[in-house]
Amino acid sequence: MPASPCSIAHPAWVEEIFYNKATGGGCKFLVMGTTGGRNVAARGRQPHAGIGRRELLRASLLGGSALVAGIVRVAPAIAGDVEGGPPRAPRGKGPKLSGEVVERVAGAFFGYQMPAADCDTIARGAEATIRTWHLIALSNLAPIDPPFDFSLVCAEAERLTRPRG
Amino acid sequence: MTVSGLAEVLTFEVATLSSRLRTREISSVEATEAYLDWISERDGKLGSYITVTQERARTDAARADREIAAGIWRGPFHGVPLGLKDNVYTKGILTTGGSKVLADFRPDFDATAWAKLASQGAVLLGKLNLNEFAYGGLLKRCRNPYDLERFPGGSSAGSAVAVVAGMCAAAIGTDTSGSIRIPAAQCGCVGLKPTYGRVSRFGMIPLAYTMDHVGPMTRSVRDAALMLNVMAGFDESDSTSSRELVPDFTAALAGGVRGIRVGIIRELTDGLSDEVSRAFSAALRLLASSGAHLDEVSLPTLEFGALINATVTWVEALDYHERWLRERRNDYGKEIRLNLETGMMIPALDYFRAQRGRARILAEALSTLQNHDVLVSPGVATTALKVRDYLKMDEKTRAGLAYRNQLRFTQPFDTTGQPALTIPTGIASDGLPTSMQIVGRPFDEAMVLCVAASYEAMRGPLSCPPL
Repeated sequence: MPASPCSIAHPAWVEEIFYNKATGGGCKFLVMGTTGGRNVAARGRQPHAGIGRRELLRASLLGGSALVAGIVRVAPAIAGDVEGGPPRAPRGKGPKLSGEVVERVAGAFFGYQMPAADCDTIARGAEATIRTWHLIALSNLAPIDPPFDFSLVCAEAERLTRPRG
Repeated sequence: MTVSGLAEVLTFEVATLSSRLRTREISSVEATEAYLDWISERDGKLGSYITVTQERARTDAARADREIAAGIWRGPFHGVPLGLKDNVYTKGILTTGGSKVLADFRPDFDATAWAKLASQGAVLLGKLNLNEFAYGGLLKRCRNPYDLERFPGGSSAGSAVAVVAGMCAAAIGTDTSGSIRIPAAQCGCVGLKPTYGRVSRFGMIPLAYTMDHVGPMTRSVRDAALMLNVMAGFDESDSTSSRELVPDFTAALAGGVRGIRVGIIRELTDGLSDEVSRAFSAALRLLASSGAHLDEVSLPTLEFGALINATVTWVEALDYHERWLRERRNDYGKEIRLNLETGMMIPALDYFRAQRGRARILAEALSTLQNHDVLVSPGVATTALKVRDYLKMDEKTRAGLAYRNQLRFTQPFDTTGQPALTIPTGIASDGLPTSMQIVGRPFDEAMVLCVAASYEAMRGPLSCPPL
């Protein structure tokens, strides 16, 4: 029975198996070598034709999670104003949001009075997201059907007509 | 039972407690009172409960004892005290979602997942703390049982804390971006996000309809399997619930990992703390030593999955909250308010594209899973963050940290809907748990649980938090 890893004082072999730098772009874990493993995934593949992983990563930083407190405030960095960042959609042609536009859209579309302090923050975050989706759409989503299923519509309709309780 | 014996009850797994309840070695009332005493003594510092339902718990426990004495055995949760995340509807009992907006809300029905457990005789101890509507900022009141100066992770923070600190035998959590798996990873319990549709969402306060998952948070893999056995299954009240056959998930636990093909997700092995790296390596070594075949795989679209998760959540959460946000803006915390306001600016076109993109991410994962039985990664990149350090950070650093250290590991599998489980891999030198995530094919929770159970048996028991 191998030693329990419950204590972090791991045996020496742990050091041996982790991150074999000598393998460079090959196997990251020596344990693969010992089990005859192979990397089945295509190396260097892009996540989506024409879109760099870094750009997606930055856009992902925009949040959408329980833990992303104030995450939209990092939008300027995400939007590409970072050294080595990906090429951005041309400003003149791509989406552009200002705090003023945000305030107007919230008011006109949602009857919502956006707090003034939030407008610029929201504008930067949303613009970065929209621009990223713009690039992704230009690249290729064409062969993919949306996951909206007629059987689900029927099931929901049935549920709505069923007496509750 | 003696006082020391009752204290031991607090550490029992569901499976152990259940067998002793069945043989009447201990009564449900005794176990329940032990839990209530411990909650009363310790939860002031840990902040895991929003509402403790003492009277309900005592009534449930007394009923369970009467039934067991009469030879009626409802199943492994009969008489077992449980806690529920406070976004799970409980009939007549305060269900706040962790928000001022629902401070006085008492639903008039039970959520299906809880109703199934209740019908098996489970005892309701109370409602557990969470980030506001599972979408707000970090919980400052709720603390990590291994170190009261640290965060427990979120959003099912109270569920993880209560399970680990002996304040319920098991709990229900929900997961839209990682909310079961992240707190489980940071606090040191098992957190299982089943396949989308496996467990009914009916009676859960929604965050993002198309990515909300409900699942067990437990002290052991066996307990997670037992709980999923009860919670899983088609529910006509939830149109998205699956009619997929529900196996006995405990049957898979003894399968072992000999010959099992495990893919290590390359994109999730960078940027780890040294201790998380070592613990993850050790976990891999244990799997390999017992006959699993390990190799590295690449899922290049993983970050795209996180972007989809963010986009869909912004829009779907706004759909639920829009009216309240307009009418009761000041009742929302700043963090969730900013997220919801951002949703107002996301064009319908981008939401639509995000939904279409989900198939692309899942296709890549399924392609990899043609040659593998499960995929693995660390649960999160580091051990839990100190509250003090967090408060010193600027907003940009906080946001980057949340993504790099936690969300990038979990969000993609909410996007794909695949089953994913986090399991502790040990206790690091800072006294905090490290973890591993195991991801499976859709509706193959049995394989995920099998690998997790094998690993857990080899790993051995974790040391309890210093309570």
